[in-house]
Amino acid sequence: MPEIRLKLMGPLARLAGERETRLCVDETATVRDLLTLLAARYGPEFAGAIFRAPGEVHTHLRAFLDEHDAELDDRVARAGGAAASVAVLVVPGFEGGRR
Amino acid sequence: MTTDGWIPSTCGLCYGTCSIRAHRVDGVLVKIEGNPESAIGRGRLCGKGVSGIMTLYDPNRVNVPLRRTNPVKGKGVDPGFEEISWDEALDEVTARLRKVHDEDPRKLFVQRTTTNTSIRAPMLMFAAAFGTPNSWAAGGGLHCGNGAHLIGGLYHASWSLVPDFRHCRLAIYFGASKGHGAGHVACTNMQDAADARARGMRLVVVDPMANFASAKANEWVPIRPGTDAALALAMLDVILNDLGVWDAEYLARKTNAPYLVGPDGGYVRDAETGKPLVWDTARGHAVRYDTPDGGALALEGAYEVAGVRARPAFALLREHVRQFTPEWAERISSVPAASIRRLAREFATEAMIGSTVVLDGKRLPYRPVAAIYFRGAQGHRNSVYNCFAIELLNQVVGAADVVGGALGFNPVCYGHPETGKPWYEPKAGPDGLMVTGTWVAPHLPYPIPEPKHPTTMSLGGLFPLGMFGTTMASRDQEELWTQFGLPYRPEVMLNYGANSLLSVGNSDTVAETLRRIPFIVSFDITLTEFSEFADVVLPDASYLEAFDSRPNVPFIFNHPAGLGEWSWPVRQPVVPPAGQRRMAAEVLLELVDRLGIREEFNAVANTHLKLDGPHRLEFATPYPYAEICDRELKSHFGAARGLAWFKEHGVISWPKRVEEVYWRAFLDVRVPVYWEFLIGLNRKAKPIATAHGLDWDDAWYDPLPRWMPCPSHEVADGAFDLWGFYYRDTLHTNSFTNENPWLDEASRLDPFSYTIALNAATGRRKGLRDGQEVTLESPHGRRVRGRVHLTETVHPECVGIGGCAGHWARTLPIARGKGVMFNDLLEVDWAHGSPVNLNLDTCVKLRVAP
Repeated sequence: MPEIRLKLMGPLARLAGERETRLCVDETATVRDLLTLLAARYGPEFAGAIFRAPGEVHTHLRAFLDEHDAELDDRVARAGGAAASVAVLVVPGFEGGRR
Repeated sequence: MTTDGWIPSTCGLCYGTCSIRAHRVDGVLVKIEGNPESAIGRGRLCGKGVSGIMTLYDPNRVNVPLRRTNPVKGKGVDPGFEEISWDEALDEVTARLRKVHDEDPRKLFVQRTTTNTSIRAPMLMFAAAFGTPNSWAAGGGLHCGNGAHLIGGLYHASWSLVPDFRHCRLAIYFGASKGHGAGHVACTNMQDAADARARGMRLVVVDPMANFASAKANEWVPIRPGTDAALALAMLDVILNDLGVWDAEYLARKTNAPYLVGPDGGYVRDAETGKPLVWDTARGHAVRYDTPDGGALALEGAYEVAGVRARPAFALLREHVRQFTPEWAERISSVPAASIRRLAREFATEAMIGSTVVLDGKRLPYRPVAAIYFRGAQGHRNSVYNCFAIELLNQVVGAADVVGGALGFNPVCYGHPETGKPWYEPKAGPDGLMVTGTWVAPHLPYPIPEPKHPTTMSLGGLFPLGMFGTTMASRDQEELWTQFGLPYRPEVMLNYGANSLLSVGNSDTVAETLRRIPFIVSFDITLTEFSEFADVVLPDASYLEAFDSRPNVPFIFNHPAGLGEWSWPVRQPVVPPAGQRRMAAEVLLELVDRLGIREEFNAVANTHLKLDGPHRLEFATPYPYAEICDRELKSHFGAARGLAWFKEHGVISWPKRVEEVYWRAFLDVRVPVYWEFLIGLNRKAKPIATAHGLDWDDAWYDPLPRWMPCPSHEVADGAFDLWGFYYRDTLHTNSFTNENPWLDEASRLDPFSYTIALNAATGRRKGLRDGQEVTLESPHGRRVRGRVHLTETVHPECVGIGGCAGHWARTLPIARGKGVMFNDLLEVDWAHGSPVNLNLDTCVKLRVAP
C-alpha cells in the first residue's frame, strides 16, 4: 500500500496529539476515505472536528495534496508509489467560493 | 518644491469602508473625499470619513511599544506603562504565545474590533494557524448579528439585506437604518435611499425612536423594544388568513412551503432517498420535492402519505399564525391593531403578486415591497424569531431577491469579465435548502453542524445557530465553563483595536473577565479603557498608514446591492507610519515565523484568500504581507493587476449582471418557511444541555416563529416603568470615534449624541426638565447618569441612548466624561442570552430619577 506523509494543522494537531505522521493507504483511497480513517484513528473529538454530521464533512475543512486544494473524491496516493504529502486543516471564518 | 497628489484608498472609520481619495501636500494629509471612481460610496463620504485626518494626527497616538509595570488590573487603574523596544515586546509576546501553543492553543483568546475590517482576515488567519477557535469581535454578533445575519444567510445567502432601492415601492424597516445611517455600504445606500424616496418609494419605519430612518420616512411606527416578532406575526395572520394573499408559485418553487410534514413535525420523506415529499395535485400523489417537471405542488390540505397524515409546511404556517391576531400583538408591541391591519394590507397589495418586468431582455418577477430588519429587531434574546417572522413577510409574497423586493447584499458574483473571479453563488444543500456561496462567520448558516458538547469559550458547539456567545465575557462564564468541563482557560488574549470594556455589556462584568486573563497584548492606536488591562501595547498604524488588498471583501458584507457596478478597491498608505508604529498584519506575520507556524498560516491564506495558480503561497516560504496582498489581487484580476497596479488606480470596476442581482429566478434553491431542522437540533442539544445543569425550554426550538419575551418584558416591579435601548449614532462608530475632535464637536452641537432621549410628555409627567441630569437604574442596580433630552421622537415608554460613549480613560482627553454608556446597564450572563443562538439581550427595564 502506498505511504503518505500526513500533516495535521491548527486544532487538528492538538486533537490528534501529533502534527505529522506517515500512513499507508489503499491505492484507491480518496480524501474522504482518509478523513474517515483519521476520525476512527484519533477518536470522537477529532471526528467532530472533521464531520458536521455522520458522513458529512464540515464546510470549513480543507485538505491539500502536495499543497494543492483537494476535493473529497480526489485520490490521496501518488501514481507510481512515491509518498504524497497530505495536509488537513480547519479554516473557521472562511468565505467560500471555489473558482 | 511642493508635492501635491491625491491617493485613492479606503476609509477605515467604520465597516462601511467607503472608497476615498486623500489629498497629500508635501507629505501631509490635508483632506479626505469620497472616490467617485468606486461603487462603494460613489464619491460620497460621511462626516466620520472626512474627520479621519484628525485620527491620523491625534497627538495622543501610541508611537512605541509599551509594557505594564503595575501588576494590579482594574477599571481606572494606571498600568504604569513603560516604553520598550519592538524586539523586547515581541520576545515577551512570543514566549507567552509559544507556551500556550505548546500546552493547548485554545488558551489563546483572539479579539478584534469591527471598526477596521482590514484586520479581519489577518487575525482570523492567525487564529486558524495557531489553532484556537476562541475568537470574537468584542460584542459584535452579540449585539448586531447573531440573529439578523443568520436569517440573512438562510434566506438571502447574504450578511444583510436592503430594499431594491431602484424599484421598491414600499419598504418597512424593523429596527433598521439601511440608507440612513452608518454601517454596511453606508454612503452608497444613503444616496440610493434618498433617490428612492424622491422617486416615490414609501418608507415605514418600525422603531422605538424616530431617528435617522424614521425622520425621513413616510411613517414612523413606535414599538416597544423586542416585540417585532409580535407585529410581524400579526401582519402574517392578516395577509395569510384575513386577506388570503400569498405568492403560490414562489412558495411552491423557491421555499419548503410544499414539503409534507408529518404528525411528529418532521418531513415525510421518500423511503428510498430520504428526500422530503411534496403533494403533486396533478399526479394525485406524493413525489420527491426535486422531481423534474413537478406539477402543481399543494400548499394546503392534508394527505395520507406513507401511512401518516401529512400537511404542507405552508398549511401549518398559515394555521400557526392564526393565533397571532392584531389585538394580541397590540397588547405586546403597543402598535394599534388597526395600524397592523393597514400595514399588512398595504404590504400585500403593493407586492403586486403575479406581476413581471423585463430587465436586460429578461422577464423577471416584480415584487416591489421589502421587509428589512437589523439591529433593533435583532438585539434581543428573541432575535431569531424576530428576524424569522419579519423575513416571512418577504417570503409569503415572493419579494426576495427579485425586482423591487428585499435584496441580499450580492450573494451571487460571476467575477470580472476577464478572469471570472471572484466567483460564488448559492447552491442547494441537504433537503434542497440553500447553502450560501460565500460567508463571513465561523460556519455557514445552513447546513448547521450537529450540536455537540461545547469545547470553546463561547459554548458555541452546543448552539450552532450562533456566532459568538455571552460567555466570552459574562458574569457567569467560570460557572458555565465548569459546568461543561471546559478543559482550559484563556491564558493569553490578543486584541486588535477593540474596547470590550465599552462594547459588550456592563463594564464591571467585562473587567472581571479580563482580570482573570494572565497576559493581554493589544494593538492600539490610542490608549483606551481596554488598554488599561493590557500587559503589552503594540503601536498600530492607522488605516491611513496601512495597505490592504481586500477592504471590501466579501461582497456580501460590504458592497452595494442592486444593479450598477462591482468595485474592488484597495487600501494604501497616504503617509508612512510615524514613530515606531507598525501594521498589525506585518507584526502578526513576524509572530507566525517566531512561533514556527508559517506552514499553517500559508495554507490558511491560500484557502481564505483564494490564492490560485502561480500566486499560491508555498507552505514553507515566508512572504511579507505586501506580497500576500499582491498575490491575492493577481489571483483575482490577472498578473498585470497586482498591488502596484491597484496603488496607481485605486479600484477596479465592472458592470453587474441581471443574473447576479436578481439571482433568485435563475437558481434552483429553496429557503425554509418551516424550520424542520430545529426539531433535530433540539433533540440533540437538549440532553447535552440539561445533563450539564442548563434549564431548557423547547419553545425556543419550534419550527415556526413565535414571540418570546425578553427578560425586560418579565420585570414585575412597576417602579421600572421605562424600556431602555441604544441606537447607532451616525456621528460615531462603536466607541472608537469619540476621541475624534471634529466628531466630538458635532456631537456637542447635536441634541441627541450625548444625551438620554426621553419622551417629552413622559418626562414632564415625571417632573423632569430638558437638559436635567438624571440617573437611570436597572432592576439589577446598574446605574448611569446623563442629561435628559425631552423629545417627541421616542416611544412614551422608552428611553434611547445614542452610540457607545461615556469614556473614563485619562488617555482619551476628548472623549472622557462625555455622553452616556448605555451598555453599563446590560447584564452579561446566561439569563440574558438567547438559549438558541446565544444572542445578548440589549433592552433593559429602567427607572429614572433626578
